[in-house]
Amino acid sequence: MRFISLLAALFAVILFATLIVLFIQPSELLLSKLSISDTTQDLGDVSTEGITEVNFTVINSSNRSLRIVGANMQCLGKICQKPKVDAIVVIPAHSEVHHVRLISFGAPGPFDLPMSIFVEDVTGLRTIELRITGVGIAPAKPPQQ
Amino acid sequence: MVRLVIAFFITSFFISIQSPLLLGQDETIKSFADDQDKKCNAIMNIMCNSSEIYQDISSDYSGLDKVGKSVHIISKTSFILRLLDNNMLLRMDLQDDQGTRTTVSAKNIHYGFYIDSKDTTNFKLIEIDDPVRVPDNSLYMKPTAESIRKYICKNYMIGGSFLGELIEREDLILTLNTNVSPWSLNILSKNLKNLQSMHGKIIEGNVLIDSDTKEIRSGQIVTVAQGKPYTMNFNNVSKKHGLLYLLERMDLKVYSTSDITVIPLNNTITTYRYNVTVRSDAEFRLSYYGLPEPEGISWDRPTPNYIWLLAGCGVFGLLAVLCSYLRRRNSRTSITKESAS
Repeated sequence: MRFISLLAALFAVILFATLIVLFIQPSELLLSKLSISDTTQDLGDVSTEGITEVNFTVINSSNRSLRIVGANMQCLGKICQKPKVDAIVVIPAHSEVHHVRLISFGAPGPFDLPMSIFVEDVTGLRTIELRITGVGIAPAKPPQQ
Repeated sequence: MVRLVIAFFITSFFISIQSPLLLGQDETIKSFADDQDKKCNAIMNIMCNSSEIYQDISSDYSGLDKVGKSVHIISKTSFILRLLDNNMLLRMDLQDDQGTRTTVSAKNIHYGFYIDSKDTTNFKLIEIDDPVRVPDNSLYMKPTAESIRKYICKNYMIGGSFLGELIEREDLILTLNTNVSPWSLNILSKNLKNLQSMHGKIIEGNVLIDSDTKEIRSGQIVTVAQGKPYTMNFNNVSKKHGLLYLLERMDLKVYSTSDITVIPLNNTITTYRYNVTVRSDAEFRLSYYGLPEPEGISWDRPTPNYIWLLAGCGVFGLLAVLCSYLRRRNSRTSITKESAS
């Protein structure tokens, strides 16, 4: 009887210890592992001619592959933006990828463009807000002869 | 002569009491619009409660383009319309010569989202937001009761608008003639000066309405697109599905009405089919499409492992206490027996 009692107590202690370990481990996992170095970028003076590319670096600091599962595209006033890559991007463990946005201007002037990127982090789906500011400058006209 | 005059007045009187124009035309149209609304709501209620009706649409666009070149495109689109509790879903599978593209706009109790795929399997996220605010993305149909209603009740619509919406427009004169069968509704615009400001709106038309089912059967309407009037001829065929009359087929011909010539642009045949298919609630969630669920969102999952561990701890703990108690009691009993002997 004494042996059974000791064995039961031992099992209870082992299970309790496992429980504590399981509780500690997820709390460490529940921290976001994907980050973007410069979520706000001031482009300064930008020519309104053609398409402007803006580069964001997405860093995966976890032990497993994570993904960029989407990005919004929108037009705000006369300025439009969309992601350069129109597909899901896998970021291998402990590495980084470049997320490029294509910006097109319909008119010169200051702009403040918010945008979103959707990432699969270890915690689940996260929305990271990005922002681009600057001043659109119309290209200089050639001098008339 | 006097008899003739009297006969004329009596005839005129009877004609006037027969004419809906002199019998409160506005009230007649309003009551008719209400009637249509009720029928549409009945369809919506049955659709909402059943949650098993899906709509497939195939379109055949053929005819001549602006320069008279022959155009023929076939596209197949299937809409899955579901309104169940807080869940709504609009799915479009568009097939054409470019391949198949799928877009899904949906919402559940936790969030609303837009996703799309170029191959019907690898979906990417376009927008996600609160289920109440569901992001308004111009590229996708917003999963709201209003947008779903417009797909369900197409046989009560005139050129994309419900009669109630046309009544509210102050620039239109609507005349409903219920003395003929089918009924005839005439639409005329009071102000045609600035067509640029009328983009997407109906400016005139004549439609025939089934007096029994209150459905729009056929007609011709003129709408405006980028300052130019377009004439649309349409012909609807509906079929009874249980208690509901649903649009089975719509033939549509669109013409560009320039000042002199009439150029046929295309000829669309749209078929609406209603399938009864039972699907799971998982379809309203991102994980169904291979995308992660937003952080902090958990759906019904099997009992977590820690619950089983906790239960195991309890059972073994109790067993240990029980064994210890039994051991002490046994030793006490044996001491008592020994002292007694």
